[in-house]
Amino acid sequence: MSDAATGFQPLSAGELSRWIVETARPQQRPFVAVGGRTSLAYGGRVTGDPTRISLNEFTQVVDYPARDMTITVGAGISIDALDEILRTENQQLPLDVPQSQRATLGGVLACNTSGPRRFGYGTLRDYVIGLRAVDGRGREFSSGGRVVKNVAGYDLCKPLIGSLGTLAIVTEVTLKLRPRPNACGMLWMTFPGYDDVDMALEAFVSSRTRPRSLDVLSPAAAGSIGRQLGIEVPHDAPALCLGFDGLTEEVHWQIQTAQSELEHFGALATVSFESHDTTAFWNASTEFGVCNDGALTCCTAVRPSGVLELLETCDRLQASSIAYAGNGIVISEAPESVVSAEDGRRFIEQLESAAEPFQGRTLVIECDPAWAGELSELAVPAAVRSLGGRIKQALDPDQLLAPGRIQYDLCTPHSTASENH
Amino acid sequence: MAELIDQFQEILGAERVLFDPDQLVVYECDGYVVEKKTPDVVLFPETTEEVSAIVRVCNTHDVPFVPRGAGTSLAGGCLPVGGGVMISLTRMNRILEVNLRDRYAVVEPGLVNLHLTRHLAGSGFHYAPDPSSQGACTIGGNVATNSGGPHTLKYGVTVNHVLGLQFVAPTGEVIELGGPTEPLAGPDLTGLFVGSEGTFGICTQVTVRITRDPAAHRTLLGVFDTVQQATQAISEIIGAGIVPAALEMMDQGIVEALEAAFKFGFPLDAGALLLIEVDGLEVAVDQEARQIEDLCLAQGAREVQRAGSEQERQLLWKCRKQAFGAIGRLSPSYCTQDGVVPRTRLPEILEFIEQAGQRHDIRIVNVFHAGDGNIHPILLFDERYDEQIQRVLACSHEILEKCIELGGSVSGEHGIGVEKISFMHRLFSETDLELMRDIRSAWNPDDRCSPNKMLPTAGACAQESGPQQVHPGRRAAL
Repeated sequence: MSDAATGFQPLSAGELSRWIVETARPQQRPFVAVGGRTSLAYGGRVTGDPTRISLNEFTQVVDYPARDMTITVGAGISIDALDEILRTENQQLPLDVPQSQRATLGGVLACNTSGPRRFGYGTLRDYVIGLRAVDGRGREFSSGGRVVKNVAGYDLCKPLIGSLGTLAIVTEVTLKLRPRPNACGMLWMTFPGYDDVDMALEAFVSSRTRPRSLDVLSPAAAGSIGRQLGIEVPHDAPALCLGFDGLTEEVHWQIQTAQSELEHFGALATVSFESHDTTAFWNASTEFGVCNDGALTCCTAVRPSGVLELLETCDRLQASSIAYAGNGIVISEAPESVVSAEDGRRFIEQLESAAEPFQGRTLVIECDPAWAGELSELAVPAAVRSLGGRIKQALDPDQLLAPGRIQYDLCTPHSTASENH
Repeated sequence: MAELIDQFQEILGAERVLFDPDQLVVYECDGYVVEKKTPDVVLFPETTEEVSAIVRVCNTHDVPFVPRGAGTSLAGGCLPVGGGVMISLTRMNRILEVNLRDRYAVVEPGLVNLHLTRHLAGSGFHYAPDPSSQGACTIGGNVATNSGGPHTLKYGVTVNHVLGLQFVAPTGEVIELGGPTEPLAGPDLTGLFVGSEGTFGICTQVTVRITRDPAAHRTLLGVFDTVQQATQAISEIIGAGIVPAALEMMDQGIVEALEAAFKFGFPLDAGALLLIEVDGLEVAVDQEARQIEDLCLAQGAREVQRAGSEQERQLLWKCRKQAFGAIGRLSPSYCTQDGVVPRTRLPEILEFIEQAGQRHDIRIVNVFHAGDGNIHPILLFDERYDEQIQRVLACSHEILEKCIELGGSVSGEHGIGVEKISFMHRLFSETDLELMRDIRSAWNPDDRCSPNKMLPTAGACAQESGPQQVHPGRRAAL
C-alpha cells in the first residue's frame, strides 16, 4: 500500500504494525487514524501534519454468531453498513450516531459517541466486549473476547473508548447486540416554561413507564426538528419528548400513561407519533448541531437535574438547544451573533459557568475550522490527564499517536516495564 | 514488624490492628480454600485518609498490601501472597448519598451489596448487579472483580453500573475518577479500574447507577428430562429475540441438595431445571412469558411452572442464590469454576464437564447463568485429602481449557486472582500480557498493591503449564 507522506491505507493490522515499527517510529512521524471524518472537531486540534491512517480496508464481518447475539467486525465499517447486517437477524447496536452513513465503528469508539437513546440503552461501554488494536509502539494486541461475560485480565477496551485515538488504533471490535424492538413511539408535550418541565421531570422519576429516550427541546430546536419530521408538532414552547419501544401494546400503553402522568403539570399541547416518525425524531435529535452550517456547536454534560438551568442559559444566549435530559447532556448551537473565535470562547465560558454548580464540563463538537486552534480543547479532568498520561506513555512513548488531541500530563519519558525486561 | 504495628496503631488505634496469629487465621483464605496464607497484620480503617496513611506506611517499609472486603472471592483474590498487610474495608460501609432524580448513589466499599438495594426498597429503585453472594459480598469487592450475578443477562455487570470511583493509589495518593455527570470524551479509566482485582489501588468510594424497579415479573421454572433439552431451549429463547432478566440452570445434582435444604418441591428426577425470569411492564411480561413457555415445551420440557405469588418467586430465588450454601449436604468441600462459553456451545461444555468428572472420579454438580454462557461446575471433594485436591485441580484445568477451546474465557465474574494465573498465557498472547504489565506498572510501579495477582510474571510461562503448577500463590507464599 502507498506510504504517502500524508496518507496510508494498510490492508491489515500486521501491515499497520510494521509501518509503525519500521517507518513512523524511526522517523518520529506522527500519525492519526481517520474514519469517516465526522468528529474531527472533538477534543484538541491535532498538531503538526500527521500521516492519516485510513481503515477503509477494515470493513469485513469476521464472525457473526447471531444466536450468541455478538458480532466481530473490522473497525472501518460504517455504522449504517453495520446496521444493515444486523437488521437481517432482527438485531441492533442501539447507538445513535450522527452522519451514520460515514461514521465508522472505530471512530465512534474513539469518541464514545451516543445520542438520545443513551438513556434507555447505555453507551458503547455497555456493548464492546472485545477488540484488537495496534498501539503507538506498533504492538498488535487484543483485549476482552467474544463472550458477553469476561473478567479475565484488564479490560483495555475501556480506556480506548473515548480516547480519541490517542492510545492505539483499533482495527477490530466485538460487540454485544440487542434484539430490534417490534415498535416504537413518542410522546411530545410542550409546557409554558422550563420550571414546568422541571416539575414534570421530578414527578416522572416515579413514572410507571420506562422510556428509551427523554429529551427536552428549546422552542427553537423544537421548531427545527419539527420541520425535519415533516409533521405538525407544537414548538412555541419548551418540548418534553419521551421515546418508547418494545411490543406494540407496550408502546401504546406507555404513551397513554406518560401523558396522563404529565399533562397536569401545565402541558400546553400534546402529540404522539408512531414508529416511523419516532425513528425520524431520534435521527433528527442525533444530527442536531451537526453540519448545521452554524459556526459552533457545544456539548455540555451536567448532572441531569441541572439540565433545565442550562437550557434556560442557552435561551438567554439565543442558542438553540436540546437536552438528553435523563443523562444530563445538552447540545447547543451558538447563535448567529457568534462570528469569531473570541465570541465562541465567550459563549463556551458562559455555558461552563452555568454548568459549574452541576459538576459540568463542555466539549466543542463542531466549529469553524479556522477557530479550532483556539476553541478546541478537551477539558479532561486532572486525574484522567495524569493517570491517562501514564497509559499514554506505556502505549505511545514517542507520543506519535494523534498528538494534541488530548492534553495528557506526560512527565519525563521513562522506559516501560516491557522495555526494561 | 513491631515498628510497623506501632505505626499502624498510631493511625488506627490498637483495637483496629490485628496481629495475633490466632486472630489472623480467619484471614488465611477467601472462598478459594485450596490456597491459604496468613497475612502479617490485618487493619480496619474507617476513612479514606486512614487508608492513604496505611498505604504510605507500607511504601515506606516496602511491605506488600492487599485489600479485602467480605472475603467471598472464589479465586484467591484476597490471598495475601507473600504475607504483608491486609486492609479490610468492612468498616467503611456507609451509604453517603442517594439521588433518585439523577439516578445515583455514593457508597463506601465495605457496604454489603444487598444492603444498598434494601436501603432503596420502596423508592422505586434498586442496585442491579446481584451476585449470588450479595448477602455477604461488598460493593468494593464487586468493583474489584466486575461482579455479575443472575440478572446480568438483561442488566449488565458491575462496570455497567459504576459511574465513578475514589481510590487510594498504590502511592498513597487519593484519586477521583468519574462521578454522577456523564463523561464526554476522554479514556474511560473508571471502566479500566473495575475488574482490576485490587492491583490499581484500594477503592474507598463508589458512585453507582441505581436502576428503576421493574413494574412486573414473571418467574418460570422449566422442568426438563435432560440437560441437552434445557440448553436447546435456552438457544431457542435467545434466538427468538427474547432477553429474559435472568436465565439460570440447575442440574439434578444440585437440585438434590436444594430440595434437601429448602424443600421447595423440586422434582428430584428431572435432568435439569431452568429458572427463567422476565421483567418489565405488566402489559408486556405475560406475552413474553407465554412465548418462553411455548419454546420450552417445544424443546421437550416436562412442564413449565409459574411462580404464583411474590413469596413463591422469592423462594425460587432463595433456592438459586443460596445453592452454594446447600452444597454442604453433598460434600465437606467444593471448588467452583467460572468459565464462559458462547451460549450456543453450552451443550458441548456441559457434556464435557460430565465426562471430565467421570474421568477424574469427581462428582460435579451445576448451577449457573445459562443465559450468559457463564458456567459454574461445582466439584465436590474433601480438602483433608491432598489426593482429592489434585484430582479436582486436574479436572478444573481440563474444563477451563475446554472453555478456551470453545471460544470462551476462564472467568466470567469471579476474576483471575491467584487461581487462574496459569491460564492467562492460554487466553492472551505474550504481547497482550506485556501491555497489561505495562499498564499495571504505570499505575502500580512498585507492585506492592495486591502483588502476584491476575498476571503471570514476565517470562514465567514455562513454569506454569499444568495442574501441578497452578499454585503460584502457594509457591510464592512458602
